[in-house]
Amino acid sequence: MNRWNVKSATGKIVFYLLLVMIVALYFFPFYWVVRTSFMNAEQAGEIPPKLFFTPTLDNYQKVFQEGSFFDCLWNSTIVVLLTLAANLVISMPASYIIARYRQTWMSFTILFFQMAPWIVLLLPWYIIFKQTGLYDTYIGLVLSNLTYMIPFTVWLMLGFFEDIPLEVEEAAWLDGCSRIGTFIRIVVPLVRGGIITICTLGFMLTWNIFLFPLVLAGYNTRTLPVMVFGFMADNQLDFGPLSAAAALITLPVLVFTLANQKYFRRGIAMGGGK
Amino acid sequence: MTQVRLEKIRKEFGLVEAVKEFSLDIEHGEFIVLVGPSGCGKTTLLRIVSGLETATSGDVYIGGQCVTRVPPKKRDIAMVFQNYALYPHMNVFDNLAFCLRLRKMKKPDIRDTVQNTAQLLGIAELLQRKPNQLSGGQRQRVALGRAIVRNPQVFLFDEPLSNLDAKLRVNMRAELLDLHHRLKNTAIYVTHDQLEAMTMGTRIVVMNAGEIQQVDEPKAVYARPANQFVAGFLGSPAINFIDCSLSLEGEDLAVVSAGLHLLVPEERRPRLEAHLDRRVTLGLRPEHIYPGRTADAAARFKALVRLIEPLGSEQLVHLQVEEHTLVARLDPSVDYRVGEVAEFNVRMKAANMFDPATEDAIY
Amino acid sequence: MTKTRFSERLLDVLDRQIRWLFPMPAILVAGGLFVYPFIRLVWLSFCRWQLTTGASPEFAGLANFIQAFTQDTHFWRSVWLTLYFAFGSVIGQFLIGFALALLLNREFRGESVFRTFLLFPIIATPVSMSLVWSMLMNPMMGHLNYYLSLIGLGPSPWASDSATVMPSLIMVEIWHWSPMTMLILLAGLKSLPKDPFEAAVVDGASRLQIFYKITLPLMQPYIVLVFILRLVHSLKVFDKIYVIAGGGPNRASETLNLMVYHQAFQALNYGYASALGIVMLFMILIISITLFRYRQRSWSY
Repeated sequence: MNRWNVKSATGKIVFYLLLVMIVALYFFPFYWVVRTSFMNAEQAGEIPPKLFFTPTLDNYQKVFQEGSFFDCLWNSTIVVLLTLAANLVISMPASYIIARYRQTWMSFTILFFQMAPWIVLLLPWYIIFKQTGLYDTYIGLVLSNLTYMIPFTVWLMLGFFEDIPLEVEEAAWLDGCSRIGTFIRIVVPLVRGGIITICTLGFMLTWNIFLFPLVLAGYNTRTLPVMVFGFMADNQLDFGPLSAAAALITLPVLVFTLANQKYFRRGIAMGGGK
Repeated sequence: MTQVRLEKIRKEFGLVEAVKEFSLDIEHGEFIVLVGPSGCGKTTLLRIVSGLETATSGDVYIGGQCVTRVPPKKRDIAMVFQNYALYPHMNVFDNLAFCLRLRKMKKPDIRDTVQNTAQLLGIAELLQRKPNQLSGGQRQRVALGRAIVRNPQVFLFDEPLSNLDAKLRVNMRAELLDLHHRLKNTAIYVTHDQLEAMTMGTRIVVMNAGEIQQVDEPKAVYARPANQFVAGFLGSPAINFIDCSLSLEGEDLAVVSAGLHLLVPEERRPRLEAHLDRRVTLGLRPEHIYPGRTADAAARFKALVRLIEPLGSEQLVHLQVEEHTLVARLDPSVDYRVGEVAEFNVRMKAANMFDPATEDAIY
Repeated sequence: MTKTRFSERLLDVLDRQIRWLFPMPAILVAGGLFVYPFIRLVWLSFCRWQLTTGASPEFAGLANFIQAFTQDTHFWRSVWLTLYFAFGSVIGQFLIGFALALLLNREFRGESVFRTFLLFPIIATPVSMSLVWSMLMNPMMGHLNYYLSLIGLGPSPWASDSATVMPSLIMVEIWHWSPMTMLILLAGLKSLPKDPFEAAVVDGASRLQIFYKITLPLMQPYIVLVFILRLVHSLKVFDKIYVIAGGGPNRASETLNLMVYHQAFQALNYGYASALGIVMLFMILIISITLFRYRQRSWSY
């Protein structure tokens, strides 16, 4: 409810000023990191910071060369894409059945799983993965990501599946379509919105995840967040390269998610803050 | 040839018996209408025939083969849903072509079949549109087309016209029948609208609370209802029920009630004699009452005119006879005034009589 | 209806079992990744297994738990730090989020642009932003201290001093998630019915009275829900704390999460780490259940 129904000019100015300030506060670190990424060591260390400076691309070069950036970029991409694909294939049919057959106990178990602290499982995973050869593999990382993607996806998709009238499926069955066929040809196309929402949110979650690859990925499958952390250790006070690394890594997820903003917002609204 | 046979179908939902021991034989080419109030089990029965529901007990035969355990897609039937159930993400052409593609028909054949069906239904220009771009009547035709394209043994209709406005409904009724005659197929049609049932069915099945009340041609069911429920359900305005008693007066048998003394015609006497001196429910349809101008004193009564509803082609006159209220359907040429007392006659040969205890008809 | 190919018959069989076939992969993955490892974890927690000694795990009953509860000086501190961080950041997120939601509960130009900017902290990779914050909070070269000096406040050691490390981390967490809290509360505010407010204005209630007597009670379901969700999340935070402070200085920021991690992957004390993990799981469970129960009870009005 609107508490300040201020229509006066000063009221409006104050309001918009506040808005700008708020945006500035929240956005400042982003502005800072992009700016610093173009600075050499001297400029980066300057206090008070100068407003204008000549930018340099050296930091980015350093990141590309030293930090095995492209390998890790490749790893991150593969893991994310595989996770998203596996997630859809595994979660959607399960969610469909729960929606159609109203198994409430299943949705409660899902909710329960969502609250588990994963650090707790990392240790047994590490041991098991090492024993079964899943350590430092894409499959291992994908599996670990699925633990939080599946409950979330199943739960989120429930509403979408329930919205499809059963009659449309029945018509397909009468037309001669198998249940599996109906699912693929009729039901899935109709929940396209849900799929995009899941993929948008999933991309963000999977791209950003740090703890799992930290433990479960070795030299070959390190993802970008892990790489950045390593980079941090090697370039302690070198703000320039560090900024370049930080900016590069978060750039894809920012671009992708903001491009699908509508679905992201919808996902948050439905997920209630995960 | 019996196209569809239903043998002792029963359906229970938990403790509720939705369908009680339903048996029916349907011949090829028939247009069977299942009619009854909401919840009478007609839709459940239709879905059992289609295979979307399984009966608790009993068997379904289609084309001579027992299909009780056969899944819907193999029963060679087609169903038109109340809400059309079109595929929202496909255009009209794909909606119609869907099942043909599943049968792996060749592309040119698919195109021809779909085009022909679309022509038949007058939707040929709509083939590229999506369901949400169509009006209710157009969607209905696409739903019909989907069924026709399959060329099934039996057509099933689940109240297909109930979502259309009145005028469209009348048109579609005629079109459906026309199609039925052209395609020469067998159809089972479910509705709660008694007018649809009367005008469309070759035979109608009146259902109530999961049980068949009567199966017969519309005219027969109308003229000789099997019980009070059927009599009251069909016909608009509804039949007039009057609580009477039978009395033997010399040579004549009469139904008597306050203000009414009507002689029973010869043909009806034998059956009624068993109910002598017991109560009887008299059923008079509005059209069986007419102005009392003939010298037929045997079936005449006086009544107070309470309300007149002029409909143009006829007038509905509400009459009061002592404590009974009757509705009569009269020719518009006769002028009545509200409050006047007039004389009316009854066509007793067409009247129905029912046993008050069982509500069954007495013939 | 007569000739059927093998693939069609296979499809029929699968179709009939669809009720189990479809959820099966999800159940398998969940089972394989949750149930079995969990069982192992429980078993491990009852063992003494220090990898560095090269010995194999030996059963020791509740020894690990006893050690944690009675002997380990850092354990209780860890629990305290976890709760401190969680409640501190959630309350902070809440206050700011709510204030922002109240402020933004109106139509204004540039709303969508504003919203877009506010999404940045939520979407960005936490590791990246933690790195950025640790650079900003660098006591000597970081810009935060410079900006502080501009408004007359002395330089802060931020994450380098054990006294200020937790507040610094809480600040970063608040920055990260308050936009989310704001979005959810704003959605809640927008969905409130207008009538009670209009009635109150007509009755002459002051703005403060409206807020306390109408806004807050009506928002209660949202507030409680968001609080619970955010709290459970905050109890599990790892990335920021690890990247910015690493658990230090002097274990001043070693929450339970980090303690488990250190014990498992640095001290290689698998048995003990498992026990700590179980304790953490229980703690979160108890808190969640208590909060959910509270939510059920306080819902009727």
